[in-house]
Amino acid sequence: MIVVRDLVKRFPASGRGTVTAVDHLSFSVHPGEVYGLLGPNGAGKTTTLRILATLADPDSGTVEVAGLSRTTDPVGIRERIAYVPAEGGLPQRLTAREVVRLFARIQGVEEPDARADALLDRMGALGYADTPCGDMSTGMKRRVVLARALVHSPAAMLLDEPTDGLDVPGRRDVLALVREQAAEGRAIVLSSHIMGEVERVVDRIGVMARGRLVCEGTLPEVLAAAGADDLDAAFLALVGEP
Amino acid sequence: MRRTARALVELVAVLVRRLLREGMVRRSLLWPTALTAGTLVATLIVFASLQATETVGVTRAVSAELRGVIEAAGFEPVFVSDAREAVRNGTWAAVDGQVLWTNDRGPRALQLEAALREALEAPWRPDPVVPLPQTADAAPSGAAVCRLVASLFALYGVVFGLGMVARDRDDGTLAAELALPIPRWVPGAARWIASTLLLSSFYALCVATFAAIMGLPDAAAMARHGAAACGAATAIGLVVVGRAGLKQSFAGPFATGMGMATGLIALGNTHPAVGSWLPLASVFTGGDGWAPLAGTLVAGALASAIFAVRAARE
Repeated sequence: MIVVRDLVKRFPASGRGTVTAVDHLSFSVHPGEVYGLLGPNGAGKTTTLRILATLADPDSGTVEVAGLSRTTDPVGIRERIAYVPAEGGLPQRLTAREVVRLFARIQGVEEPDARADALLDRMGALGYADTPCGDMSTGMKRRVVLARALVHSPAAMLLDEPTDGLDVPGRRDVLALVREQAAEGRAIVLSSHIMGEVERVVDRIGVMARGRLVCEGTLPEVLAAAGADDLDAAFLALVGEP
Repeated sequence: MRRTARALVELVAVLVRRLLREGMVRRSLLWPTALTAGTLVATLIVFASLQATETVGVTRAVSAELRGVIEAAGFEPVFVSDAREAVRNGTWAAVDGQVLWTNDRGPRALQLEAALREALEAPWRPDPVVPLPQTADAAPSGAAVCRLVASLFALYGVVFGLGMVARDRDDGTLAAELALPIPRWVPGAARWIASTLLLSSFYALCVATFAAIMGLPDAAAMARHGAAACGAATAIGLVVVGRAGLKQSFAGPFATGMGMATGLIALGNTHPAVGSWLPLASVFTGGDGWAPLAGTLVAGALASAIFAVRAARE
């Protein structure tokens, strides 16, 4: 479903030439699979997701989503993915219903208003559908963001730190929703630096450090590769932190 | 193509709604027109009320009947001991039953004289013809106010262009829009159209208000110059925002944008022949406003294209 090969992205850095944010990265995600992209801050997770979402152009490498090349058909890819930025991306002055309806209309969904309400209901957000997004809690916003992301039934979801800022019940609910989406056959890439949630929800893990994929596999495979008993220890060992 | 057009319309509608829901935006759009027009109307009211309470000095020798005539003519009789002395001391007119004393050479003195002569059945009386105020006399002042308001709205345009991108970048709204299956120029163009539409509409309201109150030489041309200025200023904001967000690097692009907008306005002042062709620069020049309006469309298209190119590089 998602195939990334030899991806490289460099940014100009003042006085230092360039900074390599993504360094020859390769991985793939299958339909129905949740792929956890782990790494410390600045590892290149968000840049990778932005490239997959066609928001940023790579310097080299290829990306394919549902058989479409990112280079030749970026709009086609955007039709098939849902990108959820870490910030959420909800305008403060619009209500939840307005946001989801807007995206449903632009995506060309049939009966967009009904679809938006159905998704808000499914995400447990219908009760505050007419509340301005600026007045919502972080947990409420996350539900609205997920409803917006699913409005066009995407084949793949790119979730950047989806549980960032959530309390324990909110985190539990969002992770359950992620698993639900995978069960419906969607390929999901989820970036995070919270090991506990990754353990619970992902099928495979890719650990990034300084733009490179330093380890990849299922949880037992990653633990074995790092020679650690738990994911926290494995993460620290793999990213080179003491 | 159909999806792109639909997305553009939907995004413009939503952006206008978002802007109008901000109290500060609403106030800043209505305030210049309301305050200026309100001040003007209040001045007229005060002036009119002061005119209505003009007094005329009368001595005890003036009969009640004659005092009634003075009142009927729209003046208020006030007793004075000596009519001549009263006028010398500043009263504009006073009557002692025999003589009308006055230091006024204008129509009100003639009106008073006419009323008194008519009451006393004099063989003749003056009939002053007071010229009505002409809107053409006030029109240059109305145009000056409208030009100042256009300059102010142009500066708003820079802020709107910058702010709509910077804020939406900070909270992820822009990324969510750019991940939609639409060309990258659409979110930029939508912001330009929304800001230009909103500012131009409120500026048109200002022009209509002053055309009604004071008259304007060419209200439609004035509205076109203002719309062109608003559009060009928003385009400047969109272009100079770069990668800035509200939380970082905003001050630099803000200063650059303001400098460019005010520089263009100043260019129009110093070189009217050139300025009348350019949006923003045409605010203080004459002309029918069509060339600046066409120029602002080009500026909007360029800004949207630059926005798209920059979005791909982030």
